[in-house]
Amino acid sequence: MPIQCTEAEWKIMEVLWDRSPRTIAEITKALEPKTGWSRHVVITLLKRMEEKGTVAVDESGSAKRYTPKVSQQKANTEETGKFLSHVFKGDVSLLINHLVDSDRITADDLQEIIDAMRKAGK
Amino acid sequence: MRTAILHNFLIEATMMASIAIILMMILRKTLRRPLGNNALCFGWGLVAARLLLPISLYNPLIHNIRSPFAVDAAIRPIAGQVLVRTRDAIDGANLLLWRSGSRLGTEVTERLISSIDYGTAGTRLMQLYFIGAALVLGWFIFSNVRFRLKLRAGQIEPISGKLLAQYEALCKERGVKPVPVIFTDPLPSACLVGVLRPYIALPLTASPADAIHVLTHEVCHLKNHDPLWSLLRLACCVVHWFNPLVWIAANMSRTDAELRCDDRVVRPMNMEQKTAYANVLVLAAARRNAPGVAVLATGMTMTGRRLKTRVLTVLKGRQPLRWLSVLFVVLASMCLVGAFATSELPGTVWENNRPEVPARHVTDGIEGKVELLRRDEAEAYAAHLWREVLGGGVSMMSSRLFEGDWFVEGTENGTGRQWYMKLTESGLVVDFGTHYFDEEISDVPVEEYDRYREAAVDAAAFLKQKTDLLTPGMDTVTEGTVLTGIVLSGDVIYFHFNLMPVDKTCDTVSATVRKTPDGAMELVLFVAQGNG
Repeated sequence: MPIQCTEAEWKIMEVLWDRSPRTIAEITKALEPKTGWSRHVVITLLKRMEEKGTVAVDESGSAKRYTPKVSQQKANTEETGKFLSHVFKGDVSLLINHLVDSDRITADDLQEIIDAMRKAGK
Repeated sequence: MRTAILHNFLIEATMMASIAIILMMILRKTLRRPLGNNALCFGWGLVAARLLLPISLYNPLIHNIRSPFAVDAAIRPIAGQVLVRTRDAIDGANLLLWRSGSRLGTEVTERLISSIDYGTAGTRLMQLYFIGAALVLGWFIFSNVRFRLKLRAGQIEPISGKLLAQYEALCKERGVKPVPVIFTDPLPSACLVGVLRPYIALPLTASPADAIHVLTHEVCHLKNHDPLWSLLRLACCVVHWFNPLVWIAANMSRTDAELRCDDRVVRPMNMEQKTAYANVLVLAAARRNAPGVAVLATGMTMTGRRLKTRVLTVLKGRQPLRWLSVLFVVLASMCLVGAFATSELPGTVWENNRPEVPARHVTDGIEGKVELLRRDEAEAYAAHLWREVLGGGVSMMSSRLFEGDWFVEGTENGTGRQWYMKLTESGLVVDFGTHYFDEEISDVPVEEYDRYREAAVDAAAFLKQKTDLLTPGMDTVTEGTVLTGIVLSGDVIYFHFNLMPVDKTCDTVSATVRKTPDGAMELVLFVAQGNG
């Protein structure tokens, strides 16, 4: 099932990928410097994420603890795929061309990509 | 509703507004900076007024463009010209198609011409118009409901704390009554939502630093009453859904409203603040999503060339030239008044020149003036005339009021032939005929007319007799009964005549008499043309 995270929910996922499980208070504290979100905002987002199946909640302790149900790698791959579809119409070569043209990729990086693709193709 | 009323309003409004829209497009391209966005938005307001207000002011000169071929006096000169030119164009197409041998094309164009002449085209167009307007309105309602439901599902909480305090101070500074501001996720860009009870939806992911710029922008939308402008745009698109220029104007007006809002935002700012605001605009553009023109909500996002215009205006914008803005407002307002001046002065409409026709009272055989004010009166009078002219009864009638005249149809008893008659409310017959004609017709060359001289004279006398029955008040010129054509269909002969009434009830009458091999004659066509 595809992961559907909004930009705000993604911020929470990043906090959980960094360290989990975490309580609501810990998540709020981690996000507060960047976002200024109140506890209520975090609670509302976590509730939605629980319904979507992107986080799991452990209610056995005194406070609820949240863990991500989706790995960061999987989430990144999906988001990259969506980005490719959206911006480069699913064509990886267009993305690589763009990265090369804009000098954002080194020769070593490019070789690494080619090796990885060869390996995947086998 | 009479189609003439709708035709007048729609044709006049859309034509005048289209000219204004094109002028506004040129002004936006060439004089945006010196005029200023305020003046441009005022111009769009005038365009909306022309599009939506069903006003018509007297114009002493407009009568000069009235087409003599637009028979219905209820259709004003501009709409009349459009209708006549459209009919001429279809007529021209019909001729071309006939020459090229396209039977299907000829049939289609002939049906169109027939439907224009007999009024069904007007009715059909009106039905099509209302269906289109209903569909567009339905789409707008659906889009707005869907958008509002999405927003409601994404609502998190109202703003609070420091941001709320900053927002309230901002509203006080800008002289605006605060509306609720609600964090919403997901939401690509902030928007002011709703008309009656507006609120601001603020993306949850807006950083505290950017949020106040975003709120300033939305507060300025409130100050400019932009929700009402959005509603006005929607109304114009619904009423004039068939005109692509109106949709383009709605989009352009939306852009200009955003730019006017930016003007208001940056007016009290220093360069550092303006740069920060411009950064927010660029970041919003990266999200690329804003509510469309169908939605009653403002959106901060613009992309591409419009974004460039916007950012440059924010950073480098100069004050507009006041004198030019004032001149534009004055001239544009005068043009608006002119755009509404589409009615003829009382007394110039040719209908007032129609003479009264002394004729019999419709019912009970009582002598008096004919007044066909009701459907049953029109049908009774038509039935009476058919009996007199055809010698037999016509039944199974249908009738409708079409642009001031009664159009009655019936079936001849015994033969089953379909007859029609068009009557004015004073009982003047302007059209009479049958839908049935013999097939396989051939024109008789003029050099052979002598062979049919005697029959033609009989037919002319027969026509005179029937004309007296149909139009008892009309006095025709006896030597002016002109034979204009003879057509054969086997042994059946059709004689085409033109009559010119002495009393100028109309310019001319075209009539056709049909003669069968047994010598029987009947009047199969009688059309009064022109206004005398």
